[in-house]
Amino acid sequence: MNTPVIDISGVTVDYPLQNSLGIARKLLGRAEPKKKRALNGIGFSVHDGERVGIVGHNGAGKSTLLRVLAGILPPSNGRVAVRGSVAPLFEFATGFEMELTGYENIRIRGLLQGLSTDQVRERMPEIAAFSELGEALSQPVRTYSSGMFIRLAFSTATSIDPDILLIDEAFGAGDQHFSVKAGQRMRELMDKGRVLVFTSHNMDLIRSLCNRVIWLRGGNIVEDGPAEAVVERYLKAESHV
Amino acid sequence: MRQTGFFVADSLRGLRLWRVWGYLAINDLRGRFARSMLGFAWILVSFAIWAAGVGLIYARLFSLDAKTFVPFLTIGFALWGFISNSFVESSNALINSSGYVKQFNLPKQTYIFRSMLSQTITLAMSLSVCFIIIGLFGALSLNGVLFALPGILLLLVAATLHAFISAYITPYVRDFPHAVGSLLNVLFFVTPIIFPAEMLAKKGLGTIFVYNPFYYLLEVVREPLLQGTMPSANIWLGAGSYVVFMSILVWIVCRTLDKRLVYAL
Repeated sequence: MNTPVIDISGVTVDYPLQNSLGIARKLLGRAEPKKKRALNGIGFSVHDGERVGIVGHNGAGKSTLLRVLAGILPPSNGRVAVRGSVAPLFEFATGFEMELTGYENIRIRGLLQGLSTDQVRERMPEIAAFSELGEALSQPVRTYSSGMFIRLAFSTATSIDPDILLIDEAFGAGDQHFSVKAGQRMRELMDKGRVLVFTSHNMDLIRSLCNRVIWLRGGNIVEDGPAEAVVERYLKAESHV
Repeated sequence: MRQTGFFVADSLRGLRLWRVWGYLAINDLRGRFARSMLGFAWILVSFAIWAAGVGLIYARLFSLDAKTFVPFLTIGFALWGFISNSFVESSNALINSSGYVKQFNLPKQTYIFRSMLSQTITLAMSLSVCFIIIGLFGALSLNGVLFALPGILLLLVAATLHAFISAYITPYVRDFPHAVGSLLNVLFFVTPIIFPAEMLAKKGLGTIFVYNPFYYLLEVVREPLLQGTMPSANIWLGAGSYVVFMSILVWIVCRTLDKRLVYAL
């Protein structure tokens, strides 16, 4: 088989629990700070065209895993190899300049994702059209609703035609119309042989978008296999109260 | 794809992303003055008002010649404001950008350069007020401006080093900017900004600026602008060794803190 697009092994992530001063003390060699293990030495690889859904409880390590794949959280231990351009779509509460307009925020996000100024200008009409935000794009984003932030961020993130799309619970606040549209765009990207890693609590969405599911619990992989089968067992195991 | 935690390589990569930090910095300034009528120009106006008022009052108070004293004070104050902000304002460079740091895989140094650029623009605007004031009092020379350029460059490097230290330490030790801020308030009075160095030396207070690195940083810019002469080797040596010392300090501190910094934000 060809080289995997994502290849990780033994990845462990510990979040420092103490306040920042505790970490400073540790750096000075005083004391070992308390830690919360978020990922416990997990490993897997993903190949071209795979659409991976990550399922698990709140706090199972899903978001942490995505941030490790994006190269944003350095793991305390383990090896991470990711080949190709990555478009991360994470939280939507932060990372906007509230006083600036939608257009200016698209421009900033485009630049942050590695586009050149010219590329941003070139793609602006397409991004604007996909977001369907119209007139609102000329308004400061402090006037936006949470769904509008998602439209803006998703339209920008997917416009770079990434090799790997990492999405964390993106559709919580999107409306029906945009969710369908976004799903369609994601399928188009997948048809070009791109990789998707996607977390959600919406099993219908997982089933319709993913062909492989990784089930996490307490930072460990419970199961990793074909979407239908894993989702079924996950639902059975987690549904009893 | 890039992994985080390689301090020197990331700093250079961040520097090359000038389009990103340039755009962000300019928008930061625009945002700060958003919905105000004068906008950007407030930096100029407020500094000019301050300089005119305080300069004339102090000149009267200390019975100094306004002609030499007002330009001296304004330049000193403009440069000091820049130095002090390079610690205090930069302390939030990474914290304010944490939304980006946690979402996008870019060298975090990009956001330090972002903060430095908006401070540098502010400095450029206050320096242009200084030029006008020196011009009005009749001592601005082309030589002086040219001789000041290497000094300004060195000052920018020093300020960027301050920004790195401050931006990296503050996420771990949130008291840092407050502590440094209060220290700087004291240092302000033992740095020849209000009182010329010769006056302090004459009163037997020479030692308080001889060992003060900020005195040298000020002087490499202030002397050429005021007197049109190149500062002596002694001044350059003081400023230069401070920058070398700070570079080593930044390299040690930031390299250690770099990798796990995102966990502290």
